[in-house]
Amino acid sequence: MRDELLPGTLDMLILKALTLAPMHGYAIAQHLQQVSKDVLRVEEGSLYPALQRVQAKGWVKSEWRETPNRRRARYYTITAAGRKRLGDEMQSYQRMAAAIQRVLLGQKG
Amino acid sequence: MLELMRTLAFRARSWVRRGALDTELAEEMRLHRELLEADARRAGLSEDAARQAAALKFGNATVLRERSRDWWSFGWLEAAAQDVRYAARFLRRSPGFTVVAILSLALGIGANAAVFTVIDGLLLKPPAHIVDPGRVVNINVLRDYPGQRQTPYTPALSFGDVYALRESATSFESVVAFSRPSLVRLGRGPDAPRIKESKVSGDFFQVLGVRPAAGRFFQPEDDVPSAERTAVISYGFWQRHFAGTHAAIGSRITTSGLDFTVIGVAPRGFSGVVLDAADVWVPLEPIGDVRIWQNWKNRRGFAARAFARLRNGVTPEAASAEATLILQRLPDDTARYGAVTETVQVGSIIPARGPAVQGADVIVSMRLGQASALVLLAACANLATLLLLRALTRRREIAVRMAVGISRRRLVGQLLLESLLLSLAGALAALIAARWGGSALRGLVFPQATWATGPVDGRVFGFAVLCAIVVALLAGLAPAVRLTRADVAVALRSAAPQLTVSTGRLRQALLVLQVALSVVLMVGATAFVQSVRRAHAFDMGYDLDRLVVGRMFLESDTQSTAGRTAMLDEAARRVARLPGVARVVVAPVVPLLGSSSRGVVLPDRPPRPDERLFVGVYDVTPELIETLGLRLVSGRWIQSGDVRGAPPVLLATEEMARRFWPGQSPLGRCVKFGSDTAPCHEVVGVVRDVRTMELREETLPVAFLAAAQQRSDNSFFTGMVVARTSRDAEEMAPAVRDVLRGLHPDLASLEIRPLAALLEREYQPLRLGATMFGVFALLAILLAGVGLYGILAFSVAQRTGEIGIRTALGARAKDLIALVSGEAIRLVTFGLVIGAAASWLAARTVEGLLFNSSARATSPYVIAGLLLLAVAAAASAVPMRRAAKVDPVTALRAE
Repeated sequence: MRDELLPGTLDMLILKALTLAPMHGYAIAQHLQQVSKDVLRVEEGSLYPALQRVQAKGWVKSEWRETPNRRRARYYTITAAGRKRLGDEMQSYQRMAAAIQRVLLGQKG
Repeated sequence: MLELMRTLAFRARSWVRRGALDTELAEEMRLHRELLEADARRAGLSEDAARQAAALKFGNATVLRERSRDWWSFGWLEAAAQDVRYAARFLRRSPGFTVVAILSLALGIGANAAVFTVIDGLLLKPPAHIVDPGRVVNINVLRDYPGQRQTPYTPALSFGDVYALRESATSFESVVAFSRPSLVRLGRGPDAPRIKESKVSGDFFQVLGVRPAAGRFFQPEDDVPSAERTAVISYGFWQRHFAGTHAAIGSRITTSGLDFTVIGVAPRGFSGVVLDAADVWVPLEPIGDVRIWQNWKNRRGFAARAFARLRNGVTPEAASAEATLILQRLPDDTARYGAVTETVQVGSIIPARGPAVQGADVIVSMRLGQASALVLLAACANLATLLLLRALTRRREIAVRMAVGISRRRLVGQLLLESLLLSLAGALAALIAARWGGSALRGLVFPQATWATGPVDGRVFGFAVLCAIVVALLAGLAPAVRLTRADVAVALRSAAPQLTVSTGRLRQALLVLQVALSVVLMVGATAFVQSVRRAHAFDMGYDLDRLVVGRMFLESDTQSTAGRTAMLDEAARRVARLPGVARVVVAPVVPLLGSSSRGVVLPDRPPRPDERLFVGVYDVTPELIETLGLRLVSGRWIQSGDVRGAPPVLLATEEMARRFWPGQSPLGRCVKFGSDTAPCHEVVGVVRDVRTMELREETLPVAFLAAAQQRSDNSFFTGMVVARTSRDAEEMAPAVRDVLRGLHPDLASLEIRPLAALLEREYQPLRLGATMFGVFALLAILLAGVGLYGILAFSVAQRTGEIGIRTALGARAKDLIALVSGEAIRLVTFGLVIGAAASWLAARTVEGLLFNSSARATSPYVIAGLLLLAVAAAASAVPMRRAAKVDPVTALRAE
């Protein structure tokens, strides 16, 4: 059994990664693995349905470019709507995380 | 919202180039895997191990591509299209089932759509062409005669009332008076055709907001007493009489002796605020005192109707209260009517919503609506049965589909879709049926109405589709849910289609429902048929058949009494010369054509306080008695000796005897007309009861007086010729008409009528009820028969093995039939009992429409029961025979 991601989390991780630079699928996967220190063990192929989803929502655009190794790859770029969405999500995540922390750790205020 | 639009746009764009996208996605994924493989190799794995590791890390590429593709399409829509194709293929594969199902639905929905075409126009829609109909109201009045009676709300009021409201009521923008369309002669001479004329206030069209199809409508100055007489004609009359040309405007027409100038044409289908459409509308003021009566604006008589447009912001309640107050403040003729309290209630011009009592045609249509809903319910039950039976043969197919992972919801959806397709096809067939059925029904229910639209319009179409959807859900849901509850493993394991089913109970319930519905409709039909029979057989007190009456009117009523008598005598002589006429007499009036009513005083029976006795009175001669064929119960006839000077005599009807001298002999009693000081009329004979106006009236006390003993000029009636023919009266009428046509140079009108034809109008709603309930009942019984047949046939097929064993063990055909029919008999009996109980409870709703019959009498139930048993027997015959012929060897081998 692998750790399942909360629905929508993958979308946010993708958006977050793309704020750094336009990337192709493999690069996104690599990035996620590095920053999460292998905690999030996602089938890497799951990225692709998610990439379709974020494109359908208008958060991400894509185009074919050449990689530095002169191979054709599809590069994904975050859009203005995507940045706004990511901002909203981060805010609400922080609120939620703070609340959970308060409850679980019994901290006041 | 924006996001949703973006998503849809993305899906649409992607769907267009989904082929290219698929290739691109494959390429993307291949690159990803290659890079993963390269990583693994760099970590020191062998070629094969690296590929495996990469595949593991990437996941199931096929599934992931599938999931990505979801975003390039309109998922559910395509699935739905696929489901429709699948359902259609299934229906095509089983044409027998499909045809039976569509036919039974076409009957059910068609019956409802046909009735709806009538009910919609009659009850649910405001009359056509009215602008902002929500603010146009009818004015209805309830009259309370203290100590006597209270009439329900009726739309009839006096012109005086309407004018009072017109002048003082502030709740309305305007109050418009009009008269119900009445027949007038078009042109001159005894053969002039009749058209319908409605007399209206000058702002009639303006208040309704109608635009003329040609010419103009009335102006205020057209509705003053001195105005030139003008007329607006209906679209239909324009087409018939003027061929729809503009020459009509400005031309003159003569109706019942008055000339009018045609100034405009109403739009097609316009009929004012009532359905009963006029051919011409004319302003009230210039003709009121000629066409209505002298002093027509006084408050006697209720010949007027009124509608009004509510002022903005005024509620109907406030308007009603104000109008009530205005009427109550009017000076009243209390001497004539007593102190009447009138209460006004304004009501919607949509007939079903008004407060006024509704006509028989309206009530009949509503009952028909209910009856047709029962038919639809029966069709639903039938479809459900068919679907259930059908489902049993599909269990393996369903099980296979569930096993390959189709979700139960999708499967139920697919099954529902099948029933929806079926019922939509049924609705389509139904609309075709309703096209002519609706026209026929409209003519049957409300022949005088003008219909603004054809029978099938958008609303009827919508109604039929709605019916179809309801049917699909009602009939399809239970079978679909039942079916998909199947245990996949069990269904797949058995080699033969699995027959142990959990649907039996539902099917039985459906059959019981069908039988019960049939009983309800059958009882209704029988009660109506009985009414028709009893109405035809009803003893009218005299012999109506082969009786022709003729009335004649001159262009101007200036004839002296003597001149009139001479004309009538000449008419009688001419008619008497006709072959086929047995006897002819002249009479002031005869029963069924009206009566005068006179107050009586009975010296031997002092009146109770406040009691006033009235009897209907006819002046008769011995010849008239014989011609009419009155029937004597006791005593003697009025004879030639009963003349002026001899003691005055009368014949009393049985009802008069019953009311005035209950339990005693009426013979020899004294009856005084008018006051206590009047001379005694002695009752010398008792005759059978007669009807004075119509079949449905309550039986009234009636006295026949000797014409020779009465003053001859006291009659309100102008006289008529009564002929007894030896041939069919209907055949004789034209001949009578021919000999009377030249009777007088100034003859304006000749009314020649077989007396029996007068009753036709009254038979009509009864016949309508009998026909429609009969048709509906037959449909329901047919459906129940098909349902029963289906169940039995299935049951026999299901139990072939068991029957085979029993036969092998020596059971005889009789035992086998009992085995199979046991269930049928139980279900049908159960349905009969429930249906009878339901009919008993529903009987009250049709009680007022029947004639001398009841839906609670025994005979309708017996007839319905017997008929249904017969149908049940017929439906079971074939399955029974099949059961009896089961060959044990074949049956057992098949197991």
